[in-house]
Amino acid sequence: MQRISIDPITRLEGHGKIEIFLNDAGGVENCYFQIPELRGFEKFCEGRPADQVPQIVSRICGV
Amino acid sequence: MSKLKLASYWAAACGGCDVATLDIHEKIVDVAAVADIVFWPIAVDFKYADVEGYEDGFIDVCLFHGAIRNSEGEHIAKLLRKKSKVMVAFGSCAISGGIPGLANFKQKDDIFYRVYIESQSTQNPQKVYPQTHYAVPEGVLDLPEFYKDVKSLSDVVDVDYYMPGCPPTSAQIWAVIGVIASGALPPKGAFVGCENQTLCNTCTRAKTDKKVKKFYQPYQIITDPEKCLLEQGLTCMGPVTRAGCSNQCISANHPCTGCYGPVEGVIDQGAKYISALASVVDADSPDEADRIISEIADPAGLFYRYGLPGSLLRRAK
Amino acid sequence: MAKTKFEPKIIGFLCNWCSYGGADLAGVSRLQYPPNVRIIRLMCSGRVDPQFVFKALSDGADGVLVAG
Ligand code: SF4
Ligand code: SF4
Ligand code: SF4
Repeated sequence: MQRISIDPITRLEGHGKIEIFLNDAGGVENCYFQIPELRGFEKFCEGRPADQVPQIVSRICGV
Repeated sequence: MSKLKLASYWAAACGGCDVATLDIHEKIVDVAAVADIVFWPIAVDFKYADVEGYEDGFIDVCLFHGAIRNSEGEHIAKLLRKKSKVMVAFGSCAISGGIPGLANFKQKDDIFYRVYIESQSTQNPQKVYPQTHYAVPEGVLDLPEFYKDVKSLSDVVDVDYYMPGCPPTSAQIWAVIGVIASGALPPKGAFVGCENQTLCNTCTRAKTDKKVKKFYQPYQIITDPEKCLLEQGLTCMGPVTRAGCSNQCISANHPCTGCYGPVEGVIDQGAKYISALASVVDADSPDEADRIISEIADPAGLFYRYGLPGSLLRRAK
Repeated sequence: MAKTKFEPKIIGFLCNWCSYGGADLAGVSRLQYPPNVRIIRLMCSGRVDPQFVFKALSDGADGVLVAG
């Protein structure tokens, strides 16, 4: 089985990679899309004053 | 003269630093005239494997955005360090952890639980967490290891220059690119694209006696656009923040939250701000001082908004 | 393993004119005080910067004493 890694995927915001597995006939056997990133805004916004949250979450994606 | 080889990367970042760079607009064409971009995930299609193939020191300047959040960030930082003559920590994430560094107020397990189990938009009845290695019928898939702590770039590699801001302003980025292209590099360790004075020093608002009897949240008062915001009871971080952003927030009548980081000689912006506040609180008794100070909402989250991992505190216990 | 008594390391920031003078006088008068306090003399306790306190604690001090 042959493996093609597209790492990183480019020209978009964020991190991603794609693993493609080819079977012996050269066709795509399976394909996995992975996101190798997490920052945890869901957790670290907890406890911050509500009016500050827009300033913080604007740094989820600056694109 | 051969063209400058330029790389840019984002670890735990938001892409805002990349966009601020692109916001130099048509001048990007001038950049292309003096520099070849050899790696820049947001804009051009080079892969990690291409970078691995470069000779050591092949890249002249690497602009590194983002904090070090996981093993991939550290790995790529080390790879780019090896391949680059000059490494620039670009933006507050790379310098001191930035906004993603707020995660150091929380624990890794709690972050995973919130994100992968508890959050309202998650459906994960089998409670599956990401694994660093996972066997699928076709082979093994890998994911980076999520570290316990967010780190700054200089925690993992040697850094030559620091360019503060969240993000740095496009005007400053353009000026710094000019310096790099001219080859007149400042001494190692320098902060570039900023000034060596506090924001207050450059602020044109009227400053009189700083005597604060009550602190407000920005939504609680309508401020006088001519007067110092701190004097009006808003926690403006100007006294402990490096100038260089063209006073963006304070010009828009919003207190500075400190994104350009501390001025030279200060290692802990938050601690310095405690000091600054102590000198403006106008209390006649310890009880009154307590009352005034307790009105500041989420002081830790504000004083360390952009720099908890790079501070003396580093993280909450 | 024998139990060792916890001996805290305390960094004391003392004002030259009062508390440091007092500590000095204690020494001259041969009054003993525990060696746990490591004294740093300042010209005024108003010189104490919160950074000093954070630095002391992050470098391993168990407590910080500011006297003046
Ligand atoms: S420094 Fe700010 S703008 Fe730059 S990547 Fe980090 S969060 Fe985004
Ligand atoms: S505290 Fe803020 S508003 Fe006041 S002088 Fe400083 S920067 Fe200007
Ligand atoms: S005013 Fe403060 S928070 Fe706003 S851009 Fe300038 S340094 Fe950053």
